[in-house]
This record gives sequence, structure tokens and C-alpha cells, in this order.
Amino acid sequence: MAIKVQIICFFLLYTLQLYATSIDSNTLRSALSKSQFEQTLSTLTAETSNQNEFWYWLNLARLQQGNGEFNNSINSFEESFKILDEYENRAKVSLRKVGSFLGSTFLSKGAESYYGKGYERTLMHTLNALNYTMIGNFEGAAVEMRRMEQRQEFWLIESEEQLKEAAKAKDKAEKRGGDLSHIPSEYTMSALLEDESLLTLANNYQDPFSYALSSVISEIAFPYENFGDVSLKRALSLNPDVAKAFIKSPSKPKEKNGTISVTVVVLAGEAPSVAIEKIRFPLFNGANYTSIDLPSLTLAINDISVVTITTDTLRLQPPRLLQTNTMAYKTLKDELVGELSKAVVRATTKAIIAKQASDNFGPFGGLMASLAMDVGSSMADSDYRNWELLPNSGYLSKFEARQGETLSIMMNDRQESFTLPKDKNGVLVLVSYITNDNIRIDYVAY
Amino acid sequence: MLLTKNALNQKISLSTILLLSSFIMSGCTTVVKYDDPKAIETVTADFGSSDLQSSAETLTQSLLETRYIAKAQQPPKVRLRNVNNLTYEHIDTKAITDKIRIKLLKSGEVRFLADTANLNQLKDEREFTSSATANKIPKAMADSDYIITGNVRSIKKSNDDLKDVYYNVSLELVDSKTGEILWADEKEIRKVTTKSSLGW
Repeated sequence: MAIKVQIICFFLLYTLQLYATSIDSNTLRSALSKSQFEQTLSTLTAETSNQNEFWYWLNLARLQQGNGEFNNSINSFEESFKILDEYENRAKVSLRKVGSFLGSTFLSKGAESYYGKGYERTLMHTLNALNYTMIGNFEGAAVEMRRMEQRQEFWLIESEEQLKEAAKAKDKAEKRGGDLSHIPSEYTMSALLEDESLLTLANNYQDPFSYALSSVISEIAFPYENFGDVSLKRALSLNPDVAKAFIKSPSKPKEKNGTISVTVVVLAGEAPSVAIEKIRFPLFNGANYTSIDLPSLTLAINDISVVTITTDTLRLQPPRLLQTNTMAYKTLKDELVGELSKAVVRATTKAIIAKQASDNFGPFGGLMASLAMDVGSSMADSDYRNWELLPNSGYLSKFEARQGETLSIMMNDRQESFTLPKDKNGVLVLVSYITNDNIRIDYVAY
Repeated sequence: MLLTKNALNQKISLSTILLLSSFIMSGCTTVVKYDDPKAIETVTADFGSSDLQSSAETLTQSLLETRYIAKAQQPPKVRLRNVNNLTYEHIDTKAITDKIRIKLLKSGEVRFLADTANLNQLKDEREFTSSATANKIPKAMADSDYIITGNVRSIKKSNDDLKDVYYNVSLELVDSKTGEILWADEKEIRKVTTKSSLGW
């Protein structure tokens, strides 16, 4: 008996040790201030236990971009693309996919591997395009933007199919006497997901910020073509505020000498991170319990509410075109019926096991079975991660200014300034607002 | 007899261990071998070495047959501009233009002027050697009879079962004085990848 206890303790410690080697989501998101940033980046870079995970490379890529390491960031994005490519090209009947499906249907949501949502798969190309832009490879940036546009179109179709699947699951449940239309009241996201602004979104994947940036990059990469026109029209149709991002110069063509085309891109904050929420409820005589586990989203952090750009002649407030939190909430809302149907199956499976344990070993056996399943699924769920360092907001502004002029960029209460180059026709300024005290400005002139 | 049997067993286990070890060791070793650079490469559906070679080969041959080059009284001066990458992949289009340039030069039917990047290097070189004419590129270095430009485009389609990628590599020969397009040709490539039905 003593040996058995020792073995159990050893395995518990070993498992805890395994979990302790990686930076968890909360630690990662709370260690982004200027004083901690270098350390966080080097710790994540040195971490080897999660290098086969999609989210690992995306988080690393964002940190590297925020530190001005654009080539390293490109390499990290490439690693994430490889993982996604491998996943998407798996056999139609893939043993791994089947295993993950069974695990997530009957055991725990955490048994699923994370391969990103549609908006994340879109934004990884947008952010990588900025990496290519910052190293002066505009053609490479345009390639990434084409990939982004393809992803947006692909996921528009995919999300429509998902909605149909969710409707089917709902119908099925209703025929069985179940009801998936009501979000459990104990679920912390229930109020947020019923928000009117989410319901008015046409779909969850089309992102006006990426399309608007695509039009800017196309114009820089191919100045004699009009490749960016279609992207701009798409951006405008998704959000009419895009028009406010492009300021037409009041100067006449003759006065163009000495002017410079300026594009300011501000990426701010960190998007909501995913956690799995358990709603526990007692069974039968109260000694056993089961749980419904649903994905939920934390709030976005370190974000800004307004950006003001000032030159000698202009005062601009670019619109917030990238709204990652809204896309995340809408995605969750669309997928919730499917998630709920799976959660009910998982809860039922656990309840049956607890009931059998209770019947065979008494109420204590039932309680132990409930506890064992709860601990097991909680451990699997804690490993469920997403792109926790994805920017939550994106602001874009394109205007003309005088060469050598100093721009003032105000973000909430923080003011940064940037002097425009004197001998170039254009400049793209990238402002990475990681936290209130960790802001970095990079630029590329052309 | 018993000892002999034991010894035999030991020998068998020793040889089994050695065999297994060598098998494992050989599995761990990276094998490098030379291969035919012109052999068809189908590792992925991305634009690869076979596509680069076949595009350069086809387009150069077609260009050399055009009357502006084949029937020219003396080899015309040509400048090769960038081939624009308009695909969904990071293709090094410089590799395409380099290959075309080498093939055309080897034919002896055209003379090449340095491209923009090389021209700047030449300017630097001249600045280094002669400060008098530093800021001017000599007319002979800038005047070309023809300019070659091009594009690589692709169309990607996919469903649950297959991926279809179509590449189009096109080149144009432009009269640098009049801007007239004198010749154009293209190389089309299509690759289809099917998903296996069952796998890991």
C-alpha cells in the first residue's frame, strides 16, 4: 500500500514538473513590461517542450516582432505555418484527428490540439507581412497579404459550414429532447456572448484592418499597378471607417516636392486568451458530481482606446480597424452550440462512470471517480492554449507630411514622437504597443 | 554441451545486439547523396527547382527564336528587369532571371547590360576610381535596345480532397525606346496534390 502511494506521489510530482517547465498563459501575459520583456523573450525562445505547438511559435513571433527582431519573427511564423500545413494536409481519415475527436468528445476539451481560429490564421499572415515590410522586402510582404486574403475567403466559407453544423447539432439535440439554445447561466461568458454588437457582425473572420494594410503594401510593392484597389474596396465594405484612415492631401501636385507619404500602423495590447471553464453540478445523492466544460475567453489586456497623430498641419484620430476581441467573441458565439453539444456528451460520460463507481464501491467510490475525472480533465485543459500575445487592436493611418517633420503619436496617456526621413518618398511606421511602458517604434523608408 | 549452448546463445544475443545497434545507428545517420539537378522534384506542390528550370528553358528558347534576336544584324543590348512575384509563395524570382540571363548569354545572341542593382554597384565602382564623372552613369551603360520584364502568377484552389495550383511564368520583350511590346510568351505549370484516405 505504501509503495502504491509512493508511486502515485512520484507520478503526480513528475506530471507537475512537466507542467512547470513551460510558461503558462498568465505568466506570459503578465511579464511583458519593459523591465521583464527581454527575460520573457529569452525564456520563451529557450523553451523546447512546446516547439511542436502552433501557439508557441505564434507567441514567440509576436514577441520577436515587438522587439524589432523581424527576421527571427519571420522564421517563427514559418514554423507555425509548417505546423498548420501539416495539420491541414493530414489524411482524410487521420488517426491523430480521430483520437483528438474522441478525446474531446468523451473526455476533455483539452484533448484537442490548438490550430487557431480563422481570424488568427488570417492575422498571422498580416503580422508576417509587417515583418517583411520592416526589412524592406515589399514583394515578400505582398505575398503574405495574398495569403491573408486567401485565408479570409477560405474561412468565410468554412465559418458558414460551421454554422450549418451547429444548426444540425441543435436540431439533433432538440429531437432527443435536449436544448442547446440556452447558454448555461453559470457560464461567465453568457452575458458577453448575448451582446448585440456581436450579433450584428456579418461574420467573424473578415478583418478590415488586414485588407486596408494589404492595399497600402500593394501600392508600395507595385507602385505602377492598381493591385491594392480591390483590397481597399473590401476593407471599406467591411467597415466604412476605413475611409477615415486614408487622408487625402490638400496640396497640389506642384507642391509635392518635399512631401513624404506616411503610413502609421499601431498594434496594441494582447487579445483575449482561451481558458476552459468548468461548471460543476452534483449528481444523484449529491456525493458524486460531473461538469460541463466550455471554452471561455479572458479579457484583452494592455490595450489602448484612442490614438492621436499630430503633425504641423494635421491632427488625426485613426479608426480602430483591428478588433480582435470582437472577432474572438463572435467566433466563440458561433461555435458555442457545437461546443455545448460536445460538453453535454462529456458530462454524461463522466456521470455514467461516476454512477457505476458509486453502485460498485459506494458513495465514496463515486466521489473518488468524480474527483479523478475532474483532476484528469483539468490537467489536460490547463494545457489548452491559444495565441495569447496576438494584438488586440490595430490602427492605421495614411497621409502626407513634410520630409523631416516630427510626428507626435499619442496613445492613451503616452506620447511618442518620430522624425520623418528627409530624402525618401514614403515611410511606414510600425508602433508596437506591448504595454503602457513597453512601446517600440520601427520604420521603413522607401 | 551446456556450456557450448550457452556460448552459442551469448554469440547470438551479441550479434543480435550488434545488428540492432547498427540498424538503429544507421537510422540515426543523415544520408547525403548527389542527385541529378535536372531530375523532376515533387517534394511539395510549391514552386520548385524543376519549375524554375523548365520555365527558364522554355522561355529562353522562345525568346531566342524571335526575329528581334535571331535576325538581328548584331547582338542587341538587353537589360533584364525584375520578374514580379505575384504568387502565394516566397519565390526567389532573381533565380529565374539569373537562369534566363545565363542561358541567353551562353547563346551569344544578345549582350546584357547590368540590371538596376548592378548598375548602382558599377556607379559606386566608378565613384571609387574616378571622382570626375562620379554622379553620371555613362550613356553606353544605360542605353539598352530591349528590356525584358516578367511576372510569376499563381491560382490556388483546394477542397477537402485535393489542392490544385496553377503557375504562369510570363516574359515580355519591350523596345526600350518606343515602349512597344515586341514579344511575349508564357510557361504554364499545374500541380495537383491529393490527400491520402488513411494515415497517421
